[in-house]
Amino acid sequence: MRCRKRLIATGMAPADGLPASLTLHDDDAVIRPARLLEDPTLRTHALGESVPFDEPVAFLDGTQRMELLGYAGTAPVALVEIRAAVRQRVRGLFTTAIRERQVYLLGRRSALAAFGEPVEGVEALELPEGPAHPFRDLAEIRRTADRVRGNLELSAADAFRRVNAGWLVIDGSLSGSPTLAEDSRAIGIVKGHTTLPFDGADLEQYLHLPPAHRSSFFEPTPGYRPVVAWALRLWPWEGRDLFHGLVRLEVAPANGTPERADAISRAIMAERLPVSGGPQWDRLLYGTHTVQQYLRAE
Amino acid sequence: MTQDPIGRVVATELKPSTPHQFYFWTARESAVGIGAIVRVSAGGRTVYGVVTDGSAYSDLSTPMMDVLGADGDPASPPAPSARSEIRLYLASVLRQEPAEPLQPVPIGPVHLATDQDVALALRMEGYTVGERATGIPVGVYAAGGLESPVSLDCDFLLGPEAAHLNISGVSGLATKTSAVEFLLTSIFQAFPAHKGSVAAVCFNVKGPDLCFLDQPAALGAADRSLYERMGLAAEPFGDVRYFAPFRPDGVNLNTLRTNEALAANTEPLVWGLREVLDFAEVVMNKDDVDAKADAFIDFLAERVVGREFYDPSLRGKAFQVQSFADLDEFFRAIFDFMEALGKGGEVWRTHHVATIRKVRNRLSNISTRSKGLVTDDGGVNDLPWGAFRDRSVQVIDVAGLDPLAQDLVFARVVSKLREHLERRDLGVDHVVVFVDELNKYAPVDGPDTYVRKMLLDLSERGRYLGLVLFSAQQFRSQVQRRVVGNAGTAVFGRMDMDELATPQYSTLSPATKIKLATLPKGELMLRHPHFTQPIFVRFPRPAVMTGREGVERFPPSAELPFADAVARQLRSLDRRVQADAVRRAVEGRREDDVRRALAATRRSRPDDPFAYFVSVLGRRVEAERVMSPRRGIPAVAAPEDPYGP
Ligand SMILES: Nc1ncnc2c1ncn2[C@@H]1O[C@H](COP(=O)(O)OP(=O)(O)OP(=O)(O)O)[C@@H](O)[C@H]1O
Ligand SMILES: [Mg+2]
Repeated sequence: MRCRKRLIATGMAPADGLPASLTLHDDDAVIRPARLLEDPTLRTHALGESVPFDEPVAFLDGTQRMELLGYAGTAPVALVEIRAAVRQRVRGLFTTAIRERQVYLLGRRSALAAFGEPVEGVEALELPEGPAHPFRDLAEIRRTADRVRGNLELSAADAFRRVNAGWLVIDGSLSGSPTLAEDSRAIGIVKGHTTLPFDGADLEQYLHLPPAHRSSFFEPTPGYRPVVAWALRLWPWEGRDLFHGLVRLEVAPANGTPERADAISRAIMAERLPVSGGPQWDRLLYGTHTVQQYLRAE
Repeated sequence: MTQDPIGRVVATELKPSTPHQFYFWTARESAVGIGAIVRVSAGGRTVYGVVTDGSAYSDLSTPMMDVLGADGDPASPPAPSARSEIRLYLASVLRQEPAEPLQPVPIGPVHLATDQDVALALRMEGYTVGERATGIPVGVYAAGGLESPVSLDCDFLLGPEAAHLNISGVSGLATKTSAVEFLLTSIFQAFPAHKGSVAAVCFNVKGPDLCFLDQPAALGAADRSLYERMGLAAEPFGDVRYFAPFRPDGVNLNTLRTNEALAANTEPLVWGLREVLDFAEVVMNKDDVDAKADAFIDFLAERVVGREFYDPSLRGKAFQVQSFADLDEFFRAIFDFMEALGKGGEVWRTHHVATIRKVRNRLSNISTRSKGLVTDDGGVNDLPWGAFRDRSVQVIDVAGLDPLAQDLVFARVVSKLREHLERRDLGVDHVVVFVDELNKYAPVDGPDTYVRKMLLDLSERGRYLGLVLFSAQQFRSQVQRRVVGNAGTAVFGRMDMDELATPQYSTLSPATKIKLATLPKGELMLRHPHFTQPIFVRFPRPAVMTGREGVERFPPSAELPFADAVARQLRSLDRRVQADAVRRAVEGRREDDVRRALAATRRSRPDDPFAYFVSVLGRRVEAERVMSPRRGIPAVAAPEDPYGP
């Protein structure tokens, strides 16, 4: 108790426990300096009132489910089911516009050979070779599942784009896809902050962003596929933790103007409500949440 | 039948389908509501159900989330997304096809019932079609733009399988009296020829309620179309006779139906000593009608009343006891005789003087408290016993009578109906007796009166005789359970929440109770032997004038001076009778004599009522001049007598 008082007295930001939404993999945590595109130095921009989208908006998300089938000798074989869907909101109500599903059998080459022909509707996918440690294979399976899920989400986004030109909010980064990275009606919402774009005093400013403010926008990974990103604070964080209500938005370079950044930020702020519930409620938009519910129910 | 489903059955471990109920969900905006009838067809099985409960919830895990989202401000602007939300309904099974083997409701699409589904769900195909159909329209089941006629089975409404109907609900909103009026219309129009004839006897117990059953109502288009949908004509009753006792003056009628335009089928109900003596038991306090009093009453009924009785110890001339006045003369003679004997003069013909006194007080009590109904002087006008016409209604207006006299009327009318139906000589095969405010006559607690016993007997045995009780009351819980329990058909209008909280309604779901507590006028919930679950229907306003409108259109005439009231009575027998002439004829006559002459005229229905009236008046006045003036029947005081003055 005395420590907490002291912390407050020194002007440090008190937290209410470990960030609930984070599974800390300290080995993933990196600071990858970004290139500032707005303002001479990093600053914060007040947004004022939120202003909802005045047209239909769609939300995209995907899920994966892994089942460890067993071992070929010591090599694990797993079944991974991935799903992705786009749900569109018209006048407040959601309908499903796109849904995709795939099932993969994952294992190292020898393990898949031992399994034989995969059953119908299931695609075999080989893990990269490496030391035959079962843990390593399992980690590899998880990584592969993440990757194929990402691909399925992108293909769902493409399918949606073929029939609809409206706003599409994606759970995650845009930079993984060449088409999304250039889609001026796509918005990526990144909830995790294992990669941070600044350090030193800039990082403090970035992570102390006040509610209903955004940071200057920047290019997150200079040299890679160019997108425009900035941080947005959805809920007051003080008294909770640095990451509470903090998301990173990504849009195509075409949206890289202060006016567009403000307008998109205000629209996403409006999407805080209704509160989605669950441990990630401070960052998980309700629209994305309904896609997850749909995918889980299916 | 090709309509889209409106929902899907869901069954989970916690909310499973069973043979008697199932859950289903619907879109947010759907026509389903509590009381809706639905059909599930799946896996070679068709299930009909009625919705008995519903719930809605969103994906909100805790209310706190909503508070957080609104920043604690209930007025904060609405969110861009509507929360996902479910409409989940619980339906109770009405019927399954096939019925055997009885299985849980299958998972499948749910449809709103069509006309045909409603008929099947309520098993109406068994009694509303074919040559020997027995359906009686009771209303329409309305949901989702559909209006499906619903019929009761008259084998179960008017016997012999089951019988009687009881209706409950709060005053003014439950439309109880109206519902019974409508149903009588429906019965009179739809009662099938192969079931024989039917008539109704209605007791008007409240104001002008049933006083205008022969007058048309001004119905709106919605009501008319309901009649049409049920294949009924919106017409008032064609054959109605009104019976009302006199006011104490013996010439003005004690009813609100005194407008002269209605006089033709409004007549007095007048009973004499004979009629009362047969039902002495009704009006005697049960505890003190001991065997001795009974024996004396029997003696009076068998040996004295209505015949010549001669006892030289009393007087030299035979007694002709026809009326209460005559009876009093007879009693006086007994008391005079015993007084003359002095000490030891305590028994007359084995009857003790105390018993004689008691019987005399009771009987005199009747004639005082029933003044207007019971005449002192023998003139009787009664229901058309033995000559009831098919589809006729006899309304007896007892609204203005003393409760004791009301009991007497009930007891005698119902007993006579029973007697005649047993002998099959009433004139019709079935009689519906309508008793409104049943809680007054068969209360759950209070003394076990003759009337209550009689109503119970009627509810238990009436159906074999074609004697059927339709009854109404606000609170079913205040009526003796066995009387309402014997009603094969139970109807409920808008109900009181406190009443719904009593154990009788424990089988209803909370949602059904709420629906009952907020039921609009003209809607009813029915229980009928063929319906496995209570069903909600809508019925039209009765095609007869309401009491309120009736008294406006036909304002009761002011109580007339004696001579004018007599003229009115005579004019109802013959329109040509002149008031002036009657006034002159009555001038200077004793009122008793006039009443007697009037009663005689009514009884013999002569071609020229006025001439007959004058002739009787002349003769009787002559005949009676020799007798001592009648003094009514003063009660004789006896200290142990609770009825004594
Ligand atoms: N089918 C109907 N639809 C709408 N209103 C109706 C219908 N039938 C009757 N009413 C109206 O409802 C009112 C009450 O009707 P009614 O007198 O039958 O009620 P009640 O339950 O007998 O009341 P109380 O307990 O006071 O005797 C009347 O004003 C009548 O016009
Ligand atoms: Mg009433």
